Amino acid sequence: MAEADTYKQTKALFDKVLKSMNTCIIGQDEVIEHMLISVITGNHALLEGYPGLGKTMMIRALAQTLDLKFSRIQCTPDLMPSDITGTYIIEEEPKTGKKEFRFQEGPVFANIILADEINRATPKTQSALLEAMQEKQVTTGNCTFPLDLPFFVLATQNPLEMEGTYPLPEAQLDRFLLKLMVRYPNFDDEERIVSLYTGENVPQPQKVLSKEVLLQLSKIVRMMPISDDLRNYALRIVVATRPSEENKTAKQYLEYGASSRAGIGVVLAAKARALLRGNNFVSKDDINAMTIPVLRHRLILNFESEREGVTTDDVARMIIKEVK
Amino acid sequence: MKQTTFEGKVHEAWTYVMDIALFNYSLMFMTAFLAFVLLFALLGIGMYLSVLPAVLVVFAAYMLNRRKQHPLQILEKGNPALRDRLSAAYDNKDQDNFVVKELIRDTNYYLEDLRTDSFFNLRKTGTYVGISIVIVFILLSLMFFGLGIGLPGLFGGVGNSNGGSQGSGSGGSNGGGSANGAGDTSTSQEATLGQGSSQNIYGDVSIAKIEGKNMELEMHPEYGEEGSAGSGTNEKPPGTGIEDNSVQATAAESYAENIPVELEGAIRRYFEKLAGE
Repeated sequence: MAEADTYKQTKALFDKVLKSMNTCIIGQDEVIEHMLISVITGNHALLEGYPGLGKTMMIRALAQTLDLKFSRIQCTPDLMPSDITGTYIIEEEPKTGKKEFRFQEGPVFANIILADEINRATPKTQSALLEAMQEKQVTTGNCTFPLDLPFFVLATQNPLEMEGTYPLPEAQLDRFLLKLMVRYPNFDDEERIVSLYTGENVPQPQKVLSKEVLLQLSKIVRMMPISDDLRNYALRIVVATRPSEENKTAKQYLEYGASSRAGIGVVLAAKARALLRGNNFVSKDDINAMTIPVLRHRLILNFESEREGVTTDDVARMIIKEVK
Repeated sequence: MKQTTFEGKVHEAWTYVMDIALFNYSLMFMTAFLAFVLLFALLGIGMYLSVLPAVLVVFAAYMLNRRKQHPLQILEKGNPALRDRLSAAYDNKDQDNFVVKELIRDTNYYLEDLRTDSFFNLRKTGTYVGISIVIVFILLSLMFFGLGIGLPGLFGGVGNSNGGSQGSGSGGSNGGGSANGAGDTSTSQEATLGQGSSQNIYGDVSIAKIEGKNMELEMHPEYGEEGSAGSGTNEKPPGTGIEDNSVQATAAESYAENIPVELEGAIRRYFEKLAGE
């Protein structure tokens, strides 16, 4: 299928993905849309939510729907970097009996990586993911191995049981395009979930998108036109998060603001949202909708706001209101 | 002429918006001008000075709106279907990919459907017109009912606003000027010289018989003027009894001074008698 044809069918394809995902994930349409945004922009997403809300299942279902090679890394404090990237093993050639080192690829060599409870891994192991996430390659010893594209890391963490965890460093957090909050479903949705998972057959999502179509969508996202005014608006929001005399809200609530990467993220995510919704231009709604998930993990609250119980979402909302 | 290219269509729509903006600014200027005319008339300042603040108001409004909105945003505001779409298409018109091409095609379609009256702010225009009508009505009322403001006040600057009143006062028995209080300066001057209409607007001359003498009396207490033709017959017709160079406005309190000395006693006694009755 040509790119132009894919573009015309994007909305229909997204509806299909949503329908397929909805066979096993109920009441999380926004999170599914944002995960897909993260995927088609070639970025990574961090999912946070209480245990039992279906974070892992959601990522697994997405991998199935997109028909991509999926691997799961269950992060624990004793997980080693080589457990993620892979390691050299000695292998004997049966014919000659000659022994040589061969690189055994780790779970990172897949298209979709589920790094479950990433904050339980040690900083050293978390850092092993850094190069893979940013450069889309793995370096071991003197050799560098490129990763198969598309490559996405969808990591989860839960806000409870913080003992024995290693909060992700800011540098690593910045590499996730979006931080998605998985919240409790409403009563009706929860009723459907209970009914679905206590029946005879547990539903499985259908394969909807091919790897080829996904790569085409990644290209189309970057073609999406955005007006200079809106790009400027997105940038002004990002700049307004940096504490200074002019940025009163940021100065009051934040220790550090968002990076330039956040500006790129807001515009790119807004483009992807517009594409998935079948629009051929980016609107202000797209910018506003994507600003909070892009900024929430990039803003560092100061002591005062933590004491007052102000969240980064609250601050981002205040800043969006201020910037016109 | 109907444009066919995207840029041509945007330019065409842009021209509509500019024309409407020009009309709005003209209307704003007219309203501001009338408001300042009224204000300056009340303050006794010349009308021609009202042009300056009116121009300033329009200029300030233009500068504020210019900062607030780009012409493309005005077009988008006038037609919700174009919101964000038009500026995205316009800013990316040089890109050559199928997404932008489709966007431009869609935008062209919406531009064809663009109704120029959608940019016309009826409420705003109505407000300006309404305010203008009210101000004009107030100005006309002030002029025709002579409520302290005369045309000289609008045109002539400070000091002439009571010219009409002066004329009538000085006219005295001649009666010119007062009816034309809102008239021009020549009318006022005519009244001052006592050469106006010979009709006595204060009514007929009163003939009082006091102590056997017939006295022709004209009393204009509002101006403190009194004219007397003396006893006996009416010697001069109204309107011709005062020499040009003898005309002076006199205040009410100077009434007594103008009574001929030989009649002072008789008049006093007449009024005392009236008071006694």
